[in-house]
Amino acid sequence: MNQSPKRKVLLIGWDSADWEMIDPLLQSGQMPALAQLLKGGVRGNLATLQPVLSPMLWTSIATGKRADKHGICGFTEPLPDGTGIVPVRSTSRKCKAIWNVLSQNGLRSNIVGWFATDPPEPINGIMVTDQFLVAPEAKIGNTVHPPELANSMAALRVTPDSLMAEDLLAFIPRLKELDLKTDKRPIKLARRLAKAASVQAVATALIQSEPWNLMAVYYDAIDQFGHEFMSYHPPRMRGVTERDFEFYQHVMTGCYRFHDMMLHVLLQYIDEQTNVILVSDHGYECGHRRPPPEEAKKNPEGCHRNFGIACLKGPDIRESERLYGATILDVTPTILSLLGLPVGGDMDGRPWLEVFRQEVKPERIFGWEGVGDYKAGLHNSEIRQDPAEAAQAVAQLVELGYIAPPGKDVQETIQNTVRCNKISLVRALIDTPRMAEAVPLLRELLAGKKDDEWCVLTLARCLLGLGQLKEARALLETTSPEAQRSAQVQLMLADLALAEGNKVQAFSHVQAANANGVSHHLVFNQIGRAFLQFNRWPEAADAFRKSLETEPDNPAALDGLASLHLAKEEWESAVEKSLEAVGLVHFYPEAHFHLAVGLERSGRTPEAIAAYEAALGLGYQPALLHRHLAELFKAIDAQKADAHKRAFIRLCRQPLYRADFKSNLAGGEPPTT
Amino acid sequence: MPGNFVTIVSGLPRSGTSLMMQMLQAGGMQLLTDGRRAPDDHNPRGYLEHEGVKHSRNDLSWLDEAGGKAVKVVHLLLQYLPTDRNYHVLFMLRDLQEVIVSQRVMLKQQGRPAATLTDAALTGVFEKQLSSVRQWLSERTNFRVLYVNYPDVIDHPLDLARQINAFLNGNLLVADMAAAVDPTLYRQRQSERVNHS
Repeated sequence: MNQSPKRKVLLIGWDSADWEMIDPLLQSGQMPALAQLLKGGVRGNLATLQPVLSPMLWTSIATGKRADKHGICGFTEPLPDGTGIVPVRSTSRKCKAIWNVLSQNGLRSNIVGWFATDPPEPINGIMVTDQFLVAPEAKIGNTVHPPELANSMAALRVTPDSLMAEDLLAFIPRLKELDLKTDKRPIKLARRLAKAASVQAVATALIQSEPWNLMAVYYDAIDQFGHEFMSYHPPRMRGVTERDFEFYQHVMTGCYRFHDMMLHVLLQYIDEQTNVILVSDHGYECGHRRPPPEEAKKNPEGCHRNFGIACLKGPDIRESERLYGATILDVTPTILSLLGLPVGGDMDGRPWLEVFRQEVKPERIFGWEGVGDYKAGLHNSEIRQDPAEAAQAVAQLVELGYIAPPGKDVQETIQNTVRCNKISLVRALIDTPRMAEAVPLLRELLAGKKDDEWCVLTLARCLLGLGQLKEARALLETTSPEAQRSAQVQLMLADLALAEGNKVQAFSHVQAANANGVSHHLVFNQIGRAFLQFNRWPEAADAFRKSLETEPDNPAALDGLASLHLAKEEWESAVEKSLEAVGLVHFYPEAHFHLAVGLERSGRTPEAIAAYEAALGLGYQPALLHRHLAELFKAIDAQKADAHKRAFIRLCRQPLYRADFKSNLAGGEPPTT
Repeated sequence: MPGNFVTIVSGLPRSGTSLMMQMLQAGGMQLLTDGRRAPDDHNPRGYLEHEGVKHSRNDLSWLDEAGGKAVKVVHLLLQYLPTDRNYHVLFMLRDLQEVIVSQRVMLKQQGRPAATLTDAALTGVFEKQLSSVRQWLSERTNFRVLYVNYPDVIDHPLDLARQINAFLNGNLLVADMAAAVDPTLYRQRQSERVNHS
């Protein structure tokens, strides 16, 4: 795509923004700037990745790659000299971000507040890092590129002290009735508000004063406000006092309205050449599915929803379209396509070409890594490193007796940080799913803490998926009696029994799982799939229905229902449910496969071929798929038919293990203890 | 004897820093050591270290006694040295594979845990550390640095002793320095390991 050199992209990131919060506000006219953006623009859900942790997700947004490729696996990381931990840093990123790719192509980027951008990279443009917002005055020069801009940027920072009580009234109308000596929540609100105002001040200055092709601005306030105040949002939750509800029920609405005002300001400074993309990394439970306040404090990730928002508008974007199947991995490929640059073949996302005004066939290159690095604005190679490896090397020097060990608390903090980040990497790997890559990491984790039940169960699930049944069973037998009774373990035992040919035993495990007082939608999905295998359709339908009641934006349940309709030979219904599933998450190869089967049975051959090929393109390679394609191509393209036939025969010869109980549970959240 | 600077012997552990300290001692230079780390199989002639140096991140009081003397400082702690004095640094360089093998052997025999990284990963980290330290040293006007290849010390001790003496502006006993080099202690030589494998 040869784009005009004047084309620009304004990328705005609202951490945790959720249509479920936004839509009522749009309807009541409380977010006019966003309404304007949506009018004549495109909106859609944006699927997140596992684990739902913001530094990983925003780095995926900025790179188009998953965590195993970009290397940012948590909120903090060890210092390379092993003396403590720090917020995740740009030096740990293992691949180029969009601003590096743009730099090496002579395009300018202004980046404000983005996660994991500190220390600032020497890009073509301006980089004001996430740490700029919290750095002490003396160190602010280290958080801005070019450093000569640091003073002028520093002058734009808004401090909580500078806010007046009136500034908080939109959030807490009865602020004056609160005793701030005993209730610190307004102070916390002021801190978060000041930080957002600082981002906005810097962004507003740069958008006017500095030339750019990409302006990317990240705001964390919706997420930060959410973790403190979402419990008070109407309707009043159990566990929230009437008084707290009265005082704080307007905070979240105020927060979204505040963001709308900031959006309005930024939109004043763009021209007709600018495409605007507004995204969030995930959603945030705001209604009846909110976890109880105490639980939310213990497990903040549990408040996150799997779908954030995407909103696009501009000269290259179709009007009033809907975006389907989008993920956060698509943002960078989309921006590259909008700016006329090739998409890297090593990127995990896809450009949203279906909402481009003109038909575009984007150029693809193998990847941007190792190409044009000298002008990509990367840190020099000496300071780019894996922080966990660096800390381990220092620990070795300590063991050798050349450096005094840090305090025990520091050592423990570092160890915990490395462990947490490794767990996050495991979760990212099994989200794809790449069980074989996760297994060695899980073994390392277990070597460090043998009684970590999450690791035991996850390793068992991976081994099960890889067909290593004996070891999987042995591992499950080491778990506590309580764990063994859980639905998760019962389902794994069912899977094992089924693989071992013991259908009766397998079914009894499924029934035990179902009788276990399940409340999690992922478990319902597993149970539904298990019942499907036994042709127990009513029970399967019931499980999927319960799953959808628990979580409506639920592609696995929709795909489960599609499978159910296929089993019952209800082809059109199967197609409908499959389309809903892939409409939520494009990267869902099994759902594409089920869609293809439904289409094929409905006699829609060209569409069926496209869907089978989509599943293949996403890495889904069962022999059955090739057999279907071989049949469909027989009358159309003999060469292709023959190729698929050969693939079918080859795959049939390979030992096949069928672990059909598709589970995301092992990739779920580890315990928070 | 030069007295207006501190002589630092630095480098990665197991890169020949103890040998360099022995040479300086033999040449007549005063060392800042406390003798707390006893000789062992890995350094039969002693480590010649000062415990206080290991705490340099938080406590530099050992520097008060270091003027005109030689002291061993591991490479990562150089950056903690204050800029209010001058340093002459003898920085030991050795093949990283040899260093890593030697470190692993030493830790294994002491029953202490080594990093679980692969040799390649550990080499990568050490390379970055060394590169970063060298860059840092090149930007400091109060540091003069002589990079010394460990195999050169073994193979050409007299030549190296002369170079070191010139670098330290001193009147060191060059022949005695060279005589302090015992090539039989070079036990992880890359070529030998290759031949034995």
